[in-house]
Amino acid sequence: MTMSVSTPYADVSAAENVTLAVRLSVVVKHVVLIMVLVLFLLPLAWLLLTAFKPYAELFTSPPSVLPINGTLVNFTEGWAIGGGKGIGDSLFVASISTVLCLILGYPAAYALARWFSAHGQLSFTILSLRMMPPIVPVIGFYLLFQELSLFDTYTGLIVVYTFMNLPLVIWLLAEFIRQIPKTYEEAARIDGAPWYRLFWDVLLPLSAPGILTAGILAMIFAWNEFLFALVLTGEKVITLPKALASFFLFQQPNWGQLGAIGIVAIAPLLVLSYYMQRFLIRSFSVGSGGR
Amino acid sequence: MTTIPVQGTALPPATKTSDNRRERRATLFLLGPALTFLAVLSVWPFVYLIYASFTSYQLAIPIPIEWVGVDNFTRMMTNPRFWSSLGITGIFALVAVPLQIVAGLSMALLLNGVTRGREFYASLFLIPMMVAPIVVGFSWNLFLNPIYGPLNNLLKAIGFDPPAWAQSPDWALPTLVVVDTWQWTPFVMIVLLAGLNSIPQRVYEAARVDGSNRWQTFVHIVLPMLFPYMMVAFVLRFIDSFRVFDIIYILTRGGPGTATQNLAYYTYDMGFGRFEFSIAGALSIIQLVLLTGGTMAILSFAKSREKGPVSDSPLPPTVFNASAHTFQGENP
Repeated sequence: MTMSVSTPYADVSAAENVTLAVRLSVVVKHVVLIMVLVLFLLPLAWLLLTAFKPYAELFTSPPSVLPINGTLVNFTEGWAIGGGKGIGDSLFVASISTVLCLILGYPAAYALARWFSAHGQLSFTILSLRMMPPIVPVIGFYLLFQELSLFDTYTGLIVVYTFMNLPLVIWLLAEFIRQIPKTYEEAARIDGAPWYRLFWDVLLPLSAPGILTAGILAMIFAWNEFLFALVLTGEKVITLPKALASFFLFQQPNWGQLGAIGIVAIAPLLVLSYYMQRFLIRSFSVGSGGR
Repeated sequence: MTTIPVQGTALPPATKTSDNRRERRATLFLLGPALTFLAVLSVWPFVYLIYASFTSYQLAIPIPIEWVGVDNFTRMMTNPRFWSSLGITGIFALVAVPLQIVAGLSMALLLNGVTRGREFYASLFLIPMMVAPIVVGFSWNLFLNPIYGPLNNLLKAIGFDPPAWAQSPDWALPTLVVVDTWQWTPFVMIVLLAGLNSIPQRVYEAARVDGSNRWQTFVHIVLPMLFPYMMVAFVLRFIDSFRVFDIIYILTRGGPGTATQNLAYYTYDMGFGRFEFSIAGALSIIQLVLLTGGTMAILSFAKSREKGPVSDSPLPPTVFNASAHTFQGENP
């Protein structure tokens, strides 16, 4: 990027000046970026600050920016009023459905990757299921769930989340498996390895990053999902988004408790965002260059 | 889904019929469970949906269900609430999404200008799209709260008379557009950042040698090369714009009045607020048709404009061209 390198005819002092200007512009860019970033994250930062404010400080106008008497009581109270149940239910439903997606999805992805072309009709049909807005299938699911007594059950929600995430998991895993050279498998097969050894010792280690990525995505989508949980469950199964929505709308909202549960709900995702941005940038980086 | 188009080639030596048969059986065994699961769960509720939309199905009223044909659809055509919800869905697709493209492009260009810390910034910018929309909804509700919220107190302090944002008839919809844009601009930024990464350095150098200035380089070289990526972002965001529901549910509940009721919220309200399943079913089908038609129109426009990554697949390259080798820690 440095201009001093690409201008061979420039004399030394001019090059130094250019470098200085480049450096200065880089500093300016960083300052602008940090300012944009701070403004951008303000609503979430405010939520974080609110989570540590005691009750008396929540309803002052104008509000205090930093909590004056910081407290953790919102976290314990938030957990007790249903945040704990929400986190438990969400964790349970999201992990079981993710595991099911991977178990059902991996073999299908393998078959798609090895015996079908990359953008074939079958892959497209599978993925197009993922494109449907959830409000479209939800009416049918509701009627079906009433019929099969799946309404307000963990099983019902797990089935729906598996259905929701399976297409994406299959497509992602298929893309990963396509990158694994067939020669590894052929070598193992010539050595006489049975199919389960082939899977366990060759394919699984090689596709571990793909399984991890697909699993994380399925987990995030199930963790954040709201509409299906709202419509297809009642009082028994209460996932975290649903718990948050109901505290917010049907009770006098205690912002501190809401903030605390909200922070607990998003904390794991904040940790994952570093991994996810690398994944997203690389997966969209196609075309010229590497390929 | 009954006929499976085998387009790829099999394993190299698979010319013998026994091999073919074994392979076909393996395919069935491997694909079978997942496809059966997906097929059952997409067809069965869909049959219910279509059935409901052509009958007088109402959950709360124990009258015999009658076949009413396309009645539910024609009733929608003359219903002003339907048209207003269609308009609000359109605003999300045609105002919020382009807004996100422009904002995402600016952010990507800004980020592309620095080399150090780019991944760090990108992961922080990505936070809003990772957060559950419900949490996004109420953190904005808290932020915009007319009495306790920081924004309005700040605006009052510097002499403005701010509206009650989500509760105001004029500002509720713009507020939702802003929140949606806030949440999803990072996604567009990531896609366009990948696009900018794909432009080789020598292209910029060649432009400089040819004497074009920064603006000319941007308009005549960078923008055209980014076009396929912009189309990818546009298509994916267009599809997602039909999903906008959670933030409406939390911030406005469709109100004030029907000011923020898009098709998804209207369908929800009809189905689960009033138990008019037949109307809700018809609305669902209308949405599906609009979404499919809109997506196909955008894709064919993209194909006619550019021979890029968009053109050789029915869908944009997106996540699915992820290459495993770059994943295992190699830097491009």
